[in-house]
Amino acid sequence: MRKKFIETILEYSQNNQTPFVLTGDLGYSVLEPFEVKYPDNFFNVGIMEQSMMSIAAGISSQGNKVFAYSITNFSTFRALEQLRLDIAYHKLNVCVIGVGTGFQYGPAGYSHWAIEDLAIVSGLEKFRIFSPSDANSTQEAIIDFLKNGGPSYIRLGKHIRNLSDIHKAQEIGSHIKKFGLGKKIIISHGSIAIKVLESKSFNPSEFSLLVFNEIPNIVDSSYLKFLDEAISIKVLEDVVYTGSLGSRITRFLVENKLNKPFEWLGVNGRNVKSAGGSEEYLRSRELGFNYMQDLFKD
Amino acid sequence: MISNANSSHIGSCLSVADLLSVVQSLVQKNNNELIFSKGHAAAAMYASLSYEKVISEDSLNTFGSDGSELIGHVNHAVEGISFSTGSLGHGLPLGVGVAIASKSKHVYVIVSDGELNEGTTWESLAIASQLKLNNLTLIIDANGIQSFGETKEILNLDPLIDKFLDFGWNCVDIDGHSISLLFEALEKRSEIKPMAVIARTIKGKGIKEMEGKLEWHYKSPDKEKLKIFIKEIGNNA
Repeated sequence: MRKKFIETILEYSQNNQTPFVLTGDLGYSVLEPFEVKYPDNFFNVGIMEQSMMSIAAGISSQGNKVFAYSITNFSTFRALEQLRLDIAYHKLNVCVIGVGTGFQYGPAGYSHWAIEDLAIVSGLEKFRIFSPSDANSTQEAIIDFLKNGGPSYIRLGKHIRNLSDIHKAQEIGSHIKKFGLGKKIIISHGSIAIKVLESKSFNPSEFSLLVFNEIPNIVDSSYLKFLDEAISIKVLEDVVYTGSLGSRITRFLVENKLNKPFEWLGVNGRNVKSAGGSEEYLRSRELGFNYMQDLFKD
Repeated sequence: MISNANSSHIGSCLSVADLLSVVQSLVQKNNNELIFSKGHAAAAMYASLSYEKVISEDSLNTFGSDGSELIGHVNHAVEGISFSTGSLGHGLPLGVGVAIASKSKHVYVIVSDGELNEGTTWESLAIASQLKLNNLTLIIDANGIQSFGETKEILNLDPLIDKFLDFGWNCVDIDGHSISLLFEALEKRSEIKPMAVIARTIKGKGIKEMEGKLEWHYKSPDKEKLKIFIKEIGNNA
């Protein structure tokens, strides 16, 4: 997904105004192709995420689109006030890139787990938030920003495999894809979504997976009417419950009076433990060791 | 303005007024950029824009009133203001960004000396020097007083000039109420270095009761005081 991020920018820059790419001293073996080709538009500003976001705002104010790249927690929590005042309030064309979602930096420990970023950035409602599930959706998010601009946040995972390599995708809304035809609906986003399609329990005539590659402020009822026919609805995400996609889906169900069997598998931030481990170990531990079985059972 | 709105920061407005008038004239004449990082001295900024005829004098009467864009910290919705500030430590990195993207412009950033407490200011000093941003000038309104006391007693950064020089900037330390010295300092340019001007000022400058007094960071003159202060300024003009 990171390679796709930089490939997309390089490709776009061939026929369009070249954006700027700032990094807080991260992106080794990812950002170099852009640095080499567009040295005047690439700045490693050093390890100063707060200043980097203000610098990005300053560059953007002069008519440019800017990507500001760091590990998720540093580009969001560390620089939150800069995101709020300098970028969001001024409606500038800055795309904040957060690398590593959920428990992808598992062995690195809590400082690197990105489980609250969605909650925090969701509070800045002028930001569009993208949580791509694969390389294709990463490309779509980057192109969307390059074409339309605006304060944007893209949380980048590590996956190489595309969801559409496993099942045929049906686009049902802006950055929302549906896999399968079943009436048991599973809703997910980000890097964990592919786990659903990879599971042997995913029978596309029984289940449908809805993947939100953009997390909308408010879920639009126009393209989710079919939820009315759902037998059950489950949400799977490796972030805390507060400010998550599940909270938006819950609002949608309540406002549309859809009384369906509903289950929401997310991270209880109050109980997160300190010991590290692999991404999958940590997902299992924090979502429940049988979370995948829970997802498919009635 | 401040008395009508019963708002704070008149002391800061009076310390920055002289240097703001000089910078504003350079900015408006040459289509340069000013980032006013000490956003709490907003009344002075709006007044300087009115003097330069960027905004109307009448609009100043709306300062601090319901529905007015002229709010208590500078607002980018007002003509002539690039960035809303109020959170300290944002102005210099914003200025670095503008200086990177618009080499043809000269970028002036005005900060308070209290704002030098902020780490982002020092981060930005380092990157501006690293990038040889010679189209960037930082002006420090060094009135020696911040929100809760004297700057030297809270976080003593003296000798300040040495720190800017060590960070790879050119720097001068001048009387911030001397118009001629300000013009001279702000016209200095380097081939490879950004410029810092430490402008030594007096909080509440021009009104004896306010000069050097922390309390005028917060107080607003009532109608009676206002008459006395205006008379004092008139007598000194």
